[in-house]
Amino acid sequence: MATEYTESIENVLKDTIPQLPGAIRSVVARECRLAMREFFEKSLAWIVTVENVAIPDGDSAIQITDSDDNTEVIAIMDVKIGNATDGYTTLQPLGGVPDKIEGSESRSYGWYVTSNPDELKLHPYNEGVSGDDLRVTVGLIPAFDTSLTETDLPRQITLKFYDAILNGTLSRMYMHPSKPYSQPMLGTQLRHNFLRQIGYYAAQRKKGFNNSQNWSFPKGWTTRLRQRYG
Amino acid sequence: MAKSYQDVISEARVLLQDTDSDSYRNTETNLLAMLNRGLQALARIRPDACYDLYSANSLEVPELVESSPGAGQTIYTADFGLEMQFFNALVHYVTGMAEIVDDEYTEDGRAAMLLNQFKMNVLGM
Repeated sequence: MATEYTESIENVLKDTIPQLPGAIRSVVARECRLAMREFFEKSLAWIVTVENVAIPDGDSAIQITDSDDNTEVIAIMDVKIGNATDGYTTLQPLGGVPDKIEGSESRSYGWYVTSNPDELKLHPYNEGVSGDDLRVTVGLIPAFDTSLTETDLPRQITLKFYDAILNGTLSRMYMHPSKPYSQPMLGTQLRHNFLRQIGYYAAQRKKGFNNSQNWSFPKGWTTRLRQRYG
Repeated sequence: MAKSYQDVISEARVLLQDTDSDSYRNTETNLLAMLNRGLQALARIRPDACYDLYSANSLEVPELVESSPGAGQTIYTADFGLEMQFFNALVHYVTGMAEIVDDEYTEDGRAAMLLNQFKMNVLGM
């Protein structure tokens, strides 16, 4: 998703403050940030592919950053290894540290997370200078130090995910105890809608935002063709 | 023009009919103490009222002084640092508390009404 930063928290406040009599503006802004953080962390609806990640020599961790001050990496979702000439191959995600950590002069076939959410290691690790690099797909959340008025939020916030963000913000506010705007029942309803929208956009993301299929034959049932060409 | 904390006391004096500066019934010091208590009462029932005043990771309730503010203190002529929706509530609080002690001129019902008004202003619609 190409990112254009055109939105600010102020945009969201304009549509939430009128529904929150007696609310403190900065508290609404804080809940808005938390709702956005939750939305993007759970749905992973904001993804970006980081290209040309260098492969270190030896058993070293690789920290993934998208080099953008407005975002934080919240998940590593896919790692490919290769180069522009030969193309890229998907590395197998491993559930944890392998039983034996070893190096190899040929390509790594797996990767595992060493420090959630943005640090990984390859298995087997690379020995020597690699002619390959990594292509890493990561999930993003907005950086937390966003100002109220600065346009450092992506356009998708109001273009696509707006209802979800509004529901998330309002539900958090309505759940506050003993405030003029407290409405726990409505808050519960909006929270339900918010979680449902997280699921909806997570599903869209899994389908690549273009309704592409998102499955492959399980490895045990693999076909001869797949065995041959991977 | 921005309101100051001192304006809370000035507006309370109007409600108290205590605006003659040559012969105040309530001293500025006493009303300022009531305003400080009011801010603490407000922070207890609406901790978010002081949200913008968080300091060193803790809730910071302004402690107002008439002059020579020390560390962590604010001179009461400074701009009103809370949202304006709490201004009127604090006027009611200071007036209500002053009515309690100003027994020569007060009716108890008025003090209770003003203190209830304070609570209504910050918690109710």
